[in-house]
Amino acid sequence: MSRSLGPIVRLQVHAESLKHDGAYDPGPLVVMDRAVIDASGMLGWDGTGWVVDSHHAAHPRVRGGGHRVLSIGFTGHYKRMAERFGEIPAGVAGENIIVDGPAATAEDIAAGLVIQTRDGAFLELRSPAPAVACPGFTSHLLKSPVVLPRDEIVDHLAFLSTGTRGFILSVDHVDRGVEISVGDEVFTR
Amino acid sequence: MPELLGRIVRLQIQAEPLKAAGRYDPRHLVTAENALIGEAGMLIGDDNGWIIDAHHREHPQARGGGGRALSIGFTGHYQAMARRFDTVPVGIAGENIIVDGPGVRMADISEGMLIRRSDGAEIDLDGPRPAAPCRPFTSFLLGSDDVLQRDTIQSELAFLSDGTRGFLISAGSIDRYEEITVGDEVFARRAPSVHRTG
Repeated sequence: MSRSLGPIVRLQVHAESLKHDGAYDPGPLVVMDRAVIDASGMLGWDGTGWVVDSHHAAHPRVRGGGHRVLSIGFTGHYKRMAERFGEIPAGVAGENIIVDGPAATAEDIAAGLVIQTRDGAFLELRSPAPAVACPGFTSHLLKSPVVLPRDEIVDHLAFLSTGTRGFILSVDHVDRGVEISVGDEVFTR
Repeated sequence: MPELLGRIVRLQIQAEPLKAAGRYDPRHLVTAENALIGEAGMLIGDDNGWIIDAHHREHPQARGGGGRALSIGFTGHYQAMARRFDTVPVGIAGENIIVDGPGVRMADISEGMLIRRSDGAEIDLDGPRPAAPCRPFTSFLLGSDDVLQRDTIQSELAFLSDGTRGFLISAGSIDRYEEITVGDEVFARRAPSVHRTG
């Protein structure tokens, strides 16, 4: 039986890659109120037009045809990250969708997720897999001016890589774009 | 030998389709100095990132899979439209690329066109064909608040056909995005005939 995980509180696209030479820079994150998701990835409406996420197949910097096109995070995970690393702005990890809810585990959402949109449509998000934390992002959380060697941050990488850093989702099955908005509810399947 | 048609003076996308509920509304046109064109269509950059054109295959409202991915118009055609319809701002027809040059005809560009960038790179624009004018756009040019019946605007529709309303072009040969910029030159792949307007 499905249960609510919480409402969407933030939608965002990566206008460009957040990693440059291994260093993490959240500067290109653009926050939106609504977005469209299909098998190619996510587009966000910025009031002028649809902005292409850097993981979307249409983005000029996409390599390999839009793998890991969508991601999701939970405010509960951000609280945990803040407890460990100090103040962490919600969404700084760059997940496309942030849900205001407890820190879900991979087991909690193993069967997938569903977004119920404001007009009653359902968008299925399949195969959630914990995003693997990278030294660049972890060093950013540690407020290091340089990217730290992996062997110096092993514990932090492990802490972040079980879903705390967010989950990658599959939307290969979404053949027509579905519009979602801040406030839409997210459920387990 | 390619013949110069003119320089690009305007690049724009349709952030959303310009026809809504049958009426023509150009307010979703967004211009930029640079754009990316590829086989799926066109993107332009704004302060937030890359904005996707309504005819791009991946646009949420794209219909038909990007079959008319790009379009091009000429200021000469805008001058001709202004003579017939009074005020016609350059680009109002929504073509992605506006060239400052005479109003070419299909015969002038039947072999295709190419864009030559300032770095010397050339980008092929294949398969031009005249964009068919629609009643909403024609009614808009006539200043009508209503979409006029086809039989009342036949002469205007005929005037706008044959390229005056712009040309659709294929970008099928552009297998990865290419950047183009205002000021880049556009050429016909063969010498245009003398049949020109504007």
